[in-house]
Amino acid sequence: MKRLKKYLILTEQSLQVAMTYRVRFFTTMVTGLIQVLALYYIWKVVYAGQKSLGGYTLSEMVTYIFISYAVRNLYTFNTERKISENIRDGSVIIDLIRPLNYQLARFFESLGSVIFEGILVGIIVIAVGFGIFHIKGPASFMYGTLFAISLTFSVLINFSLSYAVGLLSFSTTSIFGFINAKRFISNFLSGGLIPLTFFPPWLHKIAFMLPFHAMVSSPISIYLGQIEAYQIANVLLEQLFWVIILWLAGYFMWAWASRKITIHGG
Amino acid sequence: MSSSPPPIISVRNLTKEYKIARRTEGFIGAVKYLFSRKYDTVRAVDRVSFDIYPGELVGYIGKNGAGKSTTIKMLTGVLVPTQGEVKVNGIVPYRDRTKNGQNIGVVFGQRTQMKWDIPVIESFRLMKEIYQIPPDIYKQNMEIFCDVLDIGSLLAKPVRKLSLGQRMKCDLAIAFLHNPKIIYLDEPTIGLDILVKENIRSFIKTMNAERNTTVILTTHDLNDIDSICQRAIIIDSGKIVYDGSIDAIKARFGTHKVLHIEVKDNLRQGDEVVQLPAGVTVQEFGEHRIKLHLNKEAASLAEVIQTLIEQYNIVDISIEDVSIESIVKQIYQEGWHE
Amino acid sequence: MARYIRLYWMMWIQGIQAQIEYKSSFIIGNVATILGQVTGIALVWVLFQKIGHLNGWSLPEIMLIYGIAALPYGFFELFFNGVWSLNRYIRMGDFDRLLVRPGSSLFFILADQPMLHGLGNIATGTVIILLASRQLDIRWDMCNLLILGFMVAWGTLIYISINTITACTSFWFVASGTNFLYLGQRFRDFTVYPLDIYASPLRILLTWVIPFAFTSFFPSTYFLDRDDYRVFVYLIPVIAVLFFGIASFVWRIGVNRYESTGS
Repeated sequence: MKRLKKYLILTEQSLQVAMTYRVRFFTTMVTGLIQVLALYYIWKVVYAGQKSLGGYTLSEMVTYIFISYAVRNLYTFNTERKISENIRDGSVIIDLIRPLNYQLARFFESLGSVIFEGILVGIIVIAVGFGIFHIKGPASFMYGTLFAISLTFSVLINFSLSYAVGLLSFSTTSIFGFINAKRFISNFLSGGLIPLTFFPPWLHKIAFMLPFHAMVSSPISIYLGQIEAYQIANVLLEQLFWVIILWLAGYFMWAWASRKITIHGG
Repeated sequence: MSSSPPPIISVRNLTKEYKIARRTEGFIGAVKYLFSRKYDTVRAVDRVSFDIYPGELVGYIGKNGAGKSTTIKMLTGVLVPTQGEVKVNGIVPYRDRTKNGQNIGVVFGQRTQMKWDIPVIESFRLMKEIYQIPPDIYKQNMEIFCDVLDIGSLLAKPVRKLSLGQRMKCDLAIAFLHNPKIIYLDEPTIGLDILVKENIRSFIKTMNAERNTTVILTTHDLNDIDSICQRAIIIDSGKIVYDGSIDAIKARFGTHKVLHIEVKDNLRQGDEVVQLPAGVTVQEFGEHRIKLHLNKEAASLAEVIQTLIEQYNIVDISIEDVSIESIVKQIYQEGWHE
Repeated sequence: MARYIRLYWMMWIQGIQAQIEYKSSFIIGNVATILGQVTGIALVWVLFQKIGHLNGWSLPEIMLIYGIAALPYGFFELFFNGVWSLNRYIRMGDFDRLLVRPGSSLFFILADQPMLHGLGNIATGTVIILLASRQLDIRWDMCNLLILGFMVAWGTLIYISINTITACTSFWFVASGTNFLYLGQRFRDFTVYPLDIYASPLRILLTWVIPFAFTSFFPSTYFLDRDDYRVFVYLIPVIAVLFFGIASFVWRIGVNRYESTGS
């Protein structure tokens, strides 16, 4: 408990920082609503005269875009930026002399913006979805609970990926290219912009071999009740698998990176 | 003799106010801050007036946050004053930035005008273009600067490879490159070693002597002021507390010294230094240390030290000039009495 | 004017020089840009696997809009990307040094940081346009090329104007850490699709308020022979000049209320 406390203070402080920027909060919310609204109109046009596409009815699709937005909104892209800034300006040294696990510290730090911008904006956008666009609730209470668990895993997966990309700053000056590349690939292959069922079979296969689908597609399929109850365990286990793999990858990358600092002086 | 020329810089009741949001600590504070903000108005510069004449070397002195940089930024046209008038070479700087920019050269502390990743010479070439410097003047200036500031060997290096001192010398050269009438130097020697400081000081003095360039300098370092300036303007909490010659300050404070004495004896709070001549004040007393402030004119240094040696088992003595902070403090507290 | 062109050219060359110092950054930056364009167009392609048309627009037609949209944005990045630095410059106090130079401060900020990965956008845009033209039977003769060139130039000016206006918010909101440039840029995402698929409030917004439609959709209608949009094609230069005027005005107000950081 005491060990957790020193990490929670990091969350509290990053939360405070996030809350200072209320104009940013407002713009994040407005951008979110505009994006979802635009997608809504696009899909309405797409569904003109069609009952079902890629296994989704229009009302399911509308639910999909709202929930997908809320899920993606949890993935603030500040983690990799902060890590790379720390590395480039040398302040990473300070983290080395602190009695904290670097990876865990960064995770709890990232939770600050996840809570404030992620959850709060998500709730507002979803409230608009329920109120005006009549999106569907989770298939059942159990599905809702499992959705929440799945969502936790996806936050962890996203963090681990961001963390690994951020650590690339130790060996490259072109971190922003990598950050952008990661964003484009994960938006596309996670099903964040379009459900993966729309993909042609070969692309669908590729998407399911990579971790990205576990970030958006998996939790939403649970939310929409598209997965049979007995298969949900498989989906969650697969997510857990990616959490462990990617967390370990980050762990080893940090080991490599910190050796680089201590031996070569950064 | 004819009457003196009109001032090149003229400032009347110049005032700059900032609004600063008030915050309280901790999580609750952050929540409050999210929903309502109270602002405090801070007067960084408060009804400041002065005239500066062509060719003057003026030190603009004050503690951190006293309003030095804010004044300089209003003079350079970066900031728009809240109130008051400012005229530089007949121009209101913030209203006509382009024209004003042509007349002035600026060095902003440790911020470089040069592009980080390309050779130094490229930045000089760019400035030649920006300030439309005629080729013969450019050539002539480059020769002089390379010689006096010894930057010739740096020109081919990328800026990021330069040391702080080398970079400052290049930035200084860039500021003087277009033969500006006025030069503003905001902390030009901060963090530099003594040799570079000397080099920069003598360069500024040379340029002033040869080209009659007006120089306004802000600094923490009293030695900068001492060796460069004839006149000092001292500002505290946004108000001018002194405007006059450096000589007058030196006459007043140059004889003031601070003595740090380390002794073997274990001093106790209640004990006092006895038998000290007039003109000496005890600033610190305790443990193994004594700090004295003395005016040489009132008390003889030798006499004071003699007294101390008789009384204590002395390990170490050091004698310092009073710092700019304490001069400002003293002037601010006591005022300037002629 | 001649002075500014010379000066601009010099600043651009120096900016590019600084960037190719970091070769891997140049390559990866461009790869990421291309990746963004490719995944974007792949999304449209994936969608068209399930539908025949989008509100009457065929896949190649949408590809043309998509490709044309990438050009002015690419040119903006390649030549006038500096406004993106404004927020950082203000926060770090670096804006001061641009303000004390003789000359337009807007000019100095625009020319400050050219981004080489604009090349990625220009290249992918061109390829997508060519792929679309093959199926649409659009011939790129001298006349069409010239018209496209003009449209891209005006479109670039529209980008400069919109991004300057949104960047100027940093003069007011710098302490709140917000950059409205990002918000403005989100509207760009819509303009890679035909304008008429959106509900009318959004259409009006993209035409008259944040006129990105004049950088992609309206120019494309000219090459697609959609005469019903012809009047908007003629309006492209008008909108560009008008918004640049607004941008210069907002810039002036912003600079005058600029509060430099530090004491």
